[in-house]
Amino acid sequence: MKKFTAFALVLLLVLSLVTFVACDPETPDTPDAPKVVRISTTTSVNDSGLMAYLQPYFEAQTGYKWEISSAGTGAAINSAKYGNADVILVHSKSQEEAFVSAGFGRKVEGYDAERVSFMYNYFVLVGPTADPAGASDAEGVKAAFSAIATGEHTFISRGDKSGTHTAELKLWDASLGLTNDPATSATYTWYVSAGQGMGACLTMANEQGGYCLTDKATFLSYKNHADGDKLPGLSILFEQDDAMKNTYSMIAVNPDAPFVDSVTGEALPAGTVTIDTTAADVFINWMNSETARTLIAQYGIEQYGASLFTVIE
Amino acid sequence: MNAFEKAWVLVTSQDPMLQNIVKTTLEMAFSSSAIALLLGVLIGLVVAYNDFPGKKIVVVIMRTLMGLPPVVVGIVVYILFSGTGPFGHLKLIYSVDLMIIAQVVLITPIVAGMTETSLSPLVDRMRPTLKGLNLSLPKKTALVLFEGKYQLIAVYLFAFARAISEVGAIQIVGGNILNKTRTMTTAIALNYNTGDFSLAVALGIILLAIALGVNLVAGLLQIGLKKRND
Repeated sequence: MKKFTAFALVLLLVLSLVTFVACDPETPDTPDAPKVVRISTTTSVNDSGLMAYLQPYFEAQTGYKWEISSAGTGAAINSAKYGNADVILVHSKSQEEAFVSAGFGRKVEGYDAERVSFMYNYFVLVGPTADPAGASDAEGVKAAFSAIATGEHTFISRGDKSGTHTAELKLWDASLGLTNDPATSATYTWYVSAGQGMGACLTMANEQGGYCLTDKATFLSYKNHADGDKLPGLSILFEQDDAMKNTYSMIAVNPDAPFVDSVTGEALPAGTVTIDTTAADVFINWMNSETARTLIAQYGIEQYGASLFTVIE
Repeated sequence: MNAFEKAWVLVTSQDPMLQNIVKTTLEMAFSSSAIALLLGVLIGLVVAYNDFPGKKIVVVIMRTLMGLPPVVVGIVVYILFSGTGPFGHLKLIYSVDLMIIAQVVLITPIVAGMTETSLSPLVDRMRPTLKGLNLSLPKKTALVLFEGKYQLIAVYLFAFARAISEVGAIQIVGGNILNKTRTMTTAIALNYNTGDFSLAVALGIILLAIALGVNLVAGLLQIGLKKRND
């Protein structure tokens, strides 16, 4: 039975060999290490497919590769504060301004401010098509939210300090006292603080017949999915209110920012954290180029019949 | 298209994106389980073989660490290896290497605990012989490992299963970057977020098929070893 053992051993050897050869990271195709820009962005930009759509154009035109990590706006900004991004692309004005005023932003040559706002769309209020709260008949978005609260209709909140979560909190009646601290909603049984991404929250709203504030891009991509309508129970009930405008901005990370040691919390000496400012400049300039602006304006028309983002002139 | 059809189409289409994801997954799972096996078996064996004061406490600690929450390990490794962390200068954040490090932290205690538990009776039985034969340390170790080979294959399979199915820690330290650190599990989580449920399940089916392959090879190895012993 030695043959049998030998066979199994050889198989295991071949399998591990194939893996290690195939995975050898020391065999780059090009002699020079590729130039890379590290982008920290939000789930709504990434999950809507916009970045994947732009990537080949960017890489072909600039010679840079981009590495995108995506999380809620709060986490995306934090990742930059930890020195893990050259540029951030997020959508929460208050959090962006705090980031800049703390010294983490850098003004790119040719721009007026650290915060480069370049596109927007609108948040939409979605909910059960029957609309028991009558949100679609409300005079403004705040009235629609009041109606949901008054009727104690189920509302699914992101609850994750994302840009969407921050925007949602501003739409509630101040007397409810809702903040991004989950404790403030503890007594409201109708208010579900999900702590999940946009897609997961929409799925939950669909299952539970709840209301939800979402960026239109994610909602449309779920509605018009190749596998069929993923949210058959939900409709857009309210949109296009100025309070629901959702602006996306890019901020280059300042290499001289007051970085602190992530373990001890002590200030780090200048130059400890490596930030590629050239890469950030290339990214921001390209996103503002005519090519990128045209591409962004066209994104979604083919698939959803409407563009998902509007470029700021 | 159902998930099984989608899985089949994915596998047969030779999609470069899928190939890259599978490659990263295998690199991460094989490397981390192999390193964890090396370290864990060593630790487990030392604890099983030796009698020392406080041994029971060490065993309890080891078994507790088997339950390390992956997300916590991910956050701690992330903080340590961030640009602002003590190991930031190594520039390992969002890399496969850092995913392997996080996995080794997670899996080594499991291997150590399982080795200690499964080899203790064997070591106890062999101790008088080993002492009587007056063998050198490497020879003693080799003898115990050889006698415990079935258990060790089972331990490795468990380590590999943990490595290939883990998502919480590697999502955080790897960043799920396309064509760099995206693995099958982080891709599955992403496809859930983007609503591509059937694609997520299709990837899961492929992942299970890979795990099945590894288990079949290990099973053959166990049977082969057994037949040779008989």
